[in-house]
Amino acid sequence: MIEFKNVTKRYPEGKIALDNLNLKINDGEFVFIMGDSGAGKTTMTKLLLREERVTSGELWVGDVNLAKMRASRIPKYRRRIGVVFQDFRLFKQKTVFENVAFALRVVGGASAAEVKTRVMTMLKVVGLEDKANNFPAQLSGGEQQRVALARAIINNPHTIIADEPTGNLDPKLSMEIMGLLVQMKEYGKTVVVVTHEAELAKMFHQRIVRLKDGRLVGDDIYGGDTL
Amino acid sequence: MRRLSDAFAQAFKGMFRNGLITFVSIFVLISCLLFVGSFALIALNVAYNLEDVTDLNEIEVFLDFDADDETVARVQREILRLGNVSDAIYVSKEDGLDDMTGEFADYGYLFEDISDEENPLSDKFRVLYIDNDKVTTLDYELKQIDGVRKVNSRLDIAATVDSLQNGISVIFVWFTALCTVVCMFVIINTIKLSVYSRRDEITIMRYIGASRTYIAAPFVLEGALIGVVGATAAFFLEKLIYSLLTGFVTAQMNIVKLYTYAEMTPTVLTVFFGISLFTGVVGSLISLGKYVEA
Ligand SMILES: Nc1ncnc2c1ncn2[C@@H]1O[C@H](COP(=O)(O)OP(=O)(O)OP(=O)(O)O)[C@@H](O)[C@H]1O
Ligand SMILES: [Mg+2]
Repeated sequence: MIEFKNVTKRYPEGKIALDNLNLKINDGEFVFIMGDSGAGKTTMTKLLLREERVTSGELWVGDVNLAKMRASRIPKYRRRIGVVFQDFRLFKQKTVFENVAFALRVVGGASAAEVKTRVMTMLKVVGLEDKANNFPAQLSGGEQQRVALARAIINNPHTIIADEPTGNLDPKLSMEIMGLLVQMKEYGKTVVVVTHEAELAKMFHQRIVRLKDGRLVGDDIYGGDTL
Repeated sequence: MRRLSDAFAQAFKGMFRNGLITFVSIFVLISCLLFVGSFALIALNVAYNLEDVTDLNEIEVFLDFDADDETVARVQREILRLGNVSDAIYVSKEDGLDDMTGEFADYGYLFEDISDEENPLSDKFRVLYIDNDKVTTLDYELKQIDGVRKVNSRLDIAATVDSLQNGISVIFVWFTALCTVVCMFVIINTIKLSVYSRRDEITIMRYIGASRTYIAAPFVLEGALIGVVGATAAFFLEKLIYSLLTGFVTAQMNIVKLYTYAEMTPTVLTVFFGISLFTGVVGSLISLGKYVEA
C-alpha cells in the first residue's frame, strides 16, 4: 500500500510543489495521476522513488515511511520499484537483451542461465522476444518503451511508476503501452501512471487522481466516456 | 567476480575514452613523483653522509696545563666510571703536537721550533662513548671532573646537523603535500570527465537500485589505475635518473657515500604508490560527489 499523509513538498527555491496531499493507493491497484503542467505529478513520482524527500508529512510504501528512511537503504528500496520514463532511458550501445539484463546484473546474484531465461520471459511479456538482439535505435518508440517496461519489471517489483510513459508516442502506440501497464495489475502489481492525456486515460476505466497546484482536486473511477 | 571484472572493464574503457586527459594526468603524476622522489633521494643521501659527522662517538677532554701523572690517572679512572663511556684514550701533549705536525705537514716549519717546554697544548683524553643521544649528559659530567680544562664534544656540529635534517624533512613534507594537491586536482578533473560522459548511465543505475559501491567502483578503479601506471613509470624513470646522478657524483667526489637504488626501492615504492593511490582513489571519490548520492 502507498499512502501520502499530509505530504508537503517545498523545493529549495521555496516553490511548493505538493501542498498537504493525502492519498491512499492499495496493493494491486492501478492509478492514473493527472493534472496541468506544474501540478506536482512528477514531484509525486520523485517522492515515491525517494529521489526527493518530503518536506513534511509521511509517505508510506509498504511498511517503510520514506520520510524517515535512511539514505543508505535507498538502493535496496528502489529494486522493488519499477520505473518507466517518457524518454525511455535505454543504453544506446547495448542490445535489447543487455538493456533488460542490466537491471538484473546490477542487483546481482543471478547466474548467466538464469539471466537468460528471466530476460527472455520478460521480453515475451512485452512482446519483444524476437528483438532481443536489436539495438534501441533499430526499434520504434513504442518498442523502446516496451523494453523499458521489461527492464522495470525484471526484478519483480511490487510497484511500477511511470511518468508520462506515452508522452513521446503516437496514439496507437500509446494505447499499446497503456494496455501493457494496465495488464501489470494482473500480475499483482501496484501501478501509478502519470499522464496528461485525458482521452487515453478514460479508455481504460481505471482510478484517476487529479492534482492542481499541488492539491488533490479529484479522485474517481471513470467508466467509459462519462464526463 | 563478474562485477569486479565488469568494473575493471569499465575503468579501462574510461581511461581510453578520455585518452588525452588521462595521458596528461599520468604525465603530471609522473612529474610530481619524480620531483618528490629525486628530492627525497638526495635528502636521504645527504643525511646518510651527515650521520658520519656526528657518528664519531668521540669527545676530546683537555686537562689542565699543569696536570701531573697522578691527576691524569685519576681523571682517567673517573671518566671510565661514567656510564655511556666505552674507552678513554690518553694523548699526551707531546703526542698531540706530533699529531698536529703530521696533520698540517705542509706547514711543518711552524712546528719545528717548538720545544717540549714551549708546547702550547695540554694533555687530553679521547673519550669514546656508546650512545649518541646521551651525549649532552656526558658532556656535562665530564666538565664536572676536577682537573678537566675543556670538553670538546661536537655538540655544536650535532645541533647543526640536526637542524639541517629537520629543515630537509620540513621541505620534503611541503613538497609532498604540494605534489599531492596538484595530482589530486588533475585526477579529480580527469575522473569528472569520465563521470560526466557516463552520467546518463549513472542515472539509470540509480533508478534501478544499483548500490553506491557498484556505481563508484569503475571510477575509483580508473583513478587507482592512473595512479598505478603513474607510479610504476615514475619508479623506473627515477631509477634511470638516480643512476645518472650517482654516476656523476661518484665521478666528481669519491668520498661521498651513496645508497644504491636497490636499497632505496622500498622507500621509493612506498612514497610513489602511497601518493598516487591516495590521490587516485580519493580524487575519484571526490569527483563522483553528488552522482553517487541517492
Ligand atoms: N527541482 C526542482 N526545483 C525547484 N522547483 C521544482 C523542481 N522540480 C519541480 N519544481 C516545481 O514544482 C512544481 C511541480 O513540478 P512537477 O515537475 O511536479 O510538475 P508536473 O505536474 O510533473 O508538470 P509537467 O506536466 O509539466 O511535467 C512546478 O512549479 C515546478 O516548477
Ligand atoms: Mg512532470
